[in-house]
Amino acid sequence: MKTSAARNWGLRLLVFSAVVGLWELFRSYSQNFLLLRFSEIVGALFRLLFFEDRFWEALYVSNQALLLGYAIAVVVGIPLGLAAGRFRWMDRILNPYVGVLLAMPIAPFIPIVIIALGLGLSARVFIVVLFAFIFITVNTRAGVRNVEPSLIEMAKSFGASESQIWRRIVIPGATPAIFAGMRIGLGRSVTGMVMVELLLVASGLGRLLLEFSGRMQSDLVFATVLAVIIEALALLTAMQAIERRIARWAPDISLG
Amino acid sequence: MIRVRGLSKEFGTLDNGSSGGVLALSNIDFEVRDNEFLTVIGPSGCGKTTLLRIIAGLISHDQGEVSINGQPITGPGPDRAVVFQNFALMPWADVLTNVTFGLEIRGTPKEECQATAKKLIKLVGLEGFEQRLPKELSGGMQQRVGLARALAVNP
Repeated sequence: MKTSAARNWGLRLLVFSAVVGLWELFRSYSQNFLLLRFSEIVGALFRLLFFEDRFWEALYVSNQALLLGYAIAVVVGIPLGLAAGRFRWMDRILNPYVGVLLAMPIAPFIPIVIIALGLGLSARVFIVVLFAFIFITVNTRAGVRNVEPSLIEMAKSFGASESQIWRRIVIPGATPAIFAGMRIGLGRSVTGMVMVELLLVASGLGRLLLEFSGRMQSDLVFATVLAVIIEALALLTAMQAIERRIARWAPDISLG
Repeated sequence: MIRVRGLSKEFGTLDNGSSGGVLALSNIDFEVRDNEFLTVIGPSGCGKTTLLRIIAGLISHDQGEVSINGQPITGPGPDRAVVFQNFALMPWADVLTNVTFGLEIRGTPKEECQATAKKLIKLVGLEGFEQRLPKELSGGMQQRVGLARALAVNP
């Protein structure tokens, strides 16, 4: 086990170095003065974190929308997915809307939402929810439908009530898929949060990005993006740790 | 005693409206007395599983009577338990939890569930495997877990 952990980190470092290498290669061939050396970006990140109060303020503002929006997306998305998975009539009702929400680009709707809800937190939260919840729903539904029907029949054969079937069979069985949906939903929430701030509401991190790019401070632009990525990675890693403890039983069909 | 008289079951037409259903069982008569073993043999698709599911109370029948100890069968009950062909074990639960499932559904207190389960796990020869997950067991071992689970509710 120990050697494979070391090997994992070795591989990650290798891939990371390759990415940085490709970045530098692209820089040397391109005339774009806005592309910087990776070390300069990292330096800018440190300046951002330790010398700019505005960054932490912006982070706080953006995260309000992110965490609130994500929480609502989860609270709305999971029950919808559970219902669509278990009750066929519910699935049929939701089906057309699911298709539309999956395919439709949300960005064009941002101005409409702003007009309806104003430029404050509620508009940003609403956009984040729109970006995220449908993916949580779809994955949850798939998880429910993938629960072996014979397990439900088995539970019925022992006289289980509907609520017992839910608690003991459906939800444990759908948990890995629900977590997958929650991971995807988190990524979508981050995207939604930044996008609405970039396109219209100009607050938080999006506003910082607009300011820095407006002043051609590309090092700070990249640094801000890097900060967002790091935060997303941290949240996803935390979620993965929780999932590992809850859903250790899920089949692993990957190779190697 | 299980009594079956004149049992018939037809599965309805397909959703696309194409002709005729499938007559799975027609006029079945038999009895199974206490402590008696009955084996039903037949080619694949002849209705054996349908018959078992009707007796288990999982599906309804069209004609005839099915009763156990004089009571007509209308659904699952504490007097019957099923061992499934594809095991139907909960993959997220260990052997002990799988075996206690039927008892827990019926509200039996936890200590009693576990005591009964451990006895039966020993009986089917899986002592020592209580904490294992189904994916760590062979097919035959999984089937034995299913058997222990069915026996646990004392059908």
